[in-house]
Amino acid sequence: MLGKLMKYEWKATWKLLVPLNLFIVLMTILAYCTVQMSFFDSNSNLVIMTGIIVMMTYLLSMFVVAVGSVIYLIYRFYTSVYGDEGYLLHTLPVDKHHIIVAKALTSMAWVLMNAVLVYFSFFFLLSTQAQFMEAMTEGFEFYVDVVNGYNDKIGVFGIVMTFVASFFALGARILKISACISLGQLASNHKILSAFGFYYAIYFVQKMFSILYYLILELGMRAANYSYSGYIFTTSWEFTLISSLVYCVIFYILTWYVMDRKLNLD
Amino acid sequence: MGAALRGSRRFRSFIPGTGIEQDRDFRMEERNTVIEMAPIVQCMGLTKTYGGKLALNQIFLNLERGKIVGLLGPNGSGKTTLIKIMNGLLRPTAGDILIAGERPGIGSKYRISYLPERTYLHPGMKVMEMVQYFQDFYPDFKVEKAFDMLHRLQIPPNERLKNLSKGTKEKVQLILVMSRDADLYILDEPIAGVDPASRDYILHTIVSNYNRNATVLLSTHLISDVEGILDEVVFIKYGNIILQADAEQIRQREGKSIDRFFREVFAC
Repeated sequence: MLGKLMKYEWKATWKLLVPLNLFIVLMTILAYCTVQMSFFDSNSNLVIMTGIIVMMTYLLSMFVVAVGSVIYLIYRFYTSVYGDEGYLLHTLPVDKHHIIVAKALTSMAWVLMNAVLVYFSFFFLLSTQAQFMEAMTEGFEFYVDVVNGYNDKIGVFGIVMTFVASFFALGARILKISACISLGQLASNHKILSAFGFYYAIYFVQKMFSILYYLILELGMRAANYSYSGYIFTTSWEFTLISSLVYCVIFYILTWYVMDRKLNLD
Repeated sequence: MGAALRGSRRFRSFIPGTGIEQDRDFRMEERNTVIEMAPIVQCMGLTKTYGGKLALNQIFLNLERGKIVGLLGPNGSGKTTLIKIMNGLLRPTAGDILIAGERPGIGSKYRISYLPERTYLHPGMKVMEMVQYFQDFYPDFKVEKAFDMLHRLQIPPNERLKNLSKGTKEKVQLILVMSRDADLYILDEPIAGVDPASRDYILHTIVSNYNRNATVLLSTHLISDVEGILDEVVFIKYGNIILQADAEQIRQREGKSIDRFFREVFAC
């Protein structure tokens, strides 16, 4: 049933999100043409203005599509789980775990796809600039040097694990939103407002934990006479990975608990 | 049926009145027979409160198989709350409910075909995509039956739901629900949103398409339209079941129609 749920979740979301992402591709091509055709070196103000408008639209489209996709996915979760469509979803003979996993994985796929598209877009556009490529190469070498310089065990492994940690961090963020929307359903009235309340309360607690972790780390480093920046750098993926995994489990359980044990569709 | 009903499983039980544990092998066929014999719906002291407000007050209700039952009551009497609990969309505050001998869950969802009072279909999907959706999730869904009813009601399968009128969307939902070979059909206000001319067709669709061993629970306050098809009626008022009786017996005993009797019972 998980596969079927994912299939229909994908079908329900692609009609809006594919055109949005294609818009990024279109704007990237336009912006690329603007740079390649030296619009900004022109003597004509009209051409320069056109170039500025294209570049601004390009940058704006990145932001609008990224934010718009996330808002749409949140809206989709709310309406399909706790809105009118929830009457169908919750009367399907499927496990609630499958519903949560299907929605989380589909949302993660869209956010990742959007992020990859944005990165490639910037990279494609800036790769035409020699200074950018030099800076990219230096930046990458610097990163590997720093990682290798402070901890011999971490190198390529550290970089890979940083991506893995980022993946779980994304999962934790998506499940956090699911959990907050679900917890908001426990309120008799103002359920959306309650969901925002839960979001900021959880955000505050998470920040407190982060601050506490770095505070303890700082004190530990001072006691051992370690250099501050390097140690933080090499251990950050570990903290992100562990904390993300813990948050994933907590937010998953909260979502499941409300969906399975406290469901109250209006 | 659901995974829980397949295969063979060992159950523990106690010899009644002794507290002595005994092990017995139930074959699934035997267990299924027990389930088939149980009333399709059993409510035992079912209570639901919203905040401090009582919506259902210790309801005891048994619904037998093979009947069309009218769940009748004025607005706010608790009809929809009771139906939502049967479907697992609400959790009772107290008491218990069994659907064919088991609590609402995946197993009961295989048995119940539910038509809610609101539109629950994704507006961006086409009618035929919804047919495919039901076919994918419900093993008892009959595709030919669905397309036949769509054809007879002249609903184009390629049309997107957002382009259909409210009444047509309700007809599509009813077709999807009645195309299943379920044990229990729960229809919440199935004729409220459609024109009087279509009501007869919808009622005909319900009567001619449900499995004869199944039960149809039909909630409505448009009693005069439905009373001709009802075998049994349940009156609900302020969250209490005040009457459960055979429809024909009421007519004979009271000497009046169910609609007339309802108006007298629920007179303001």
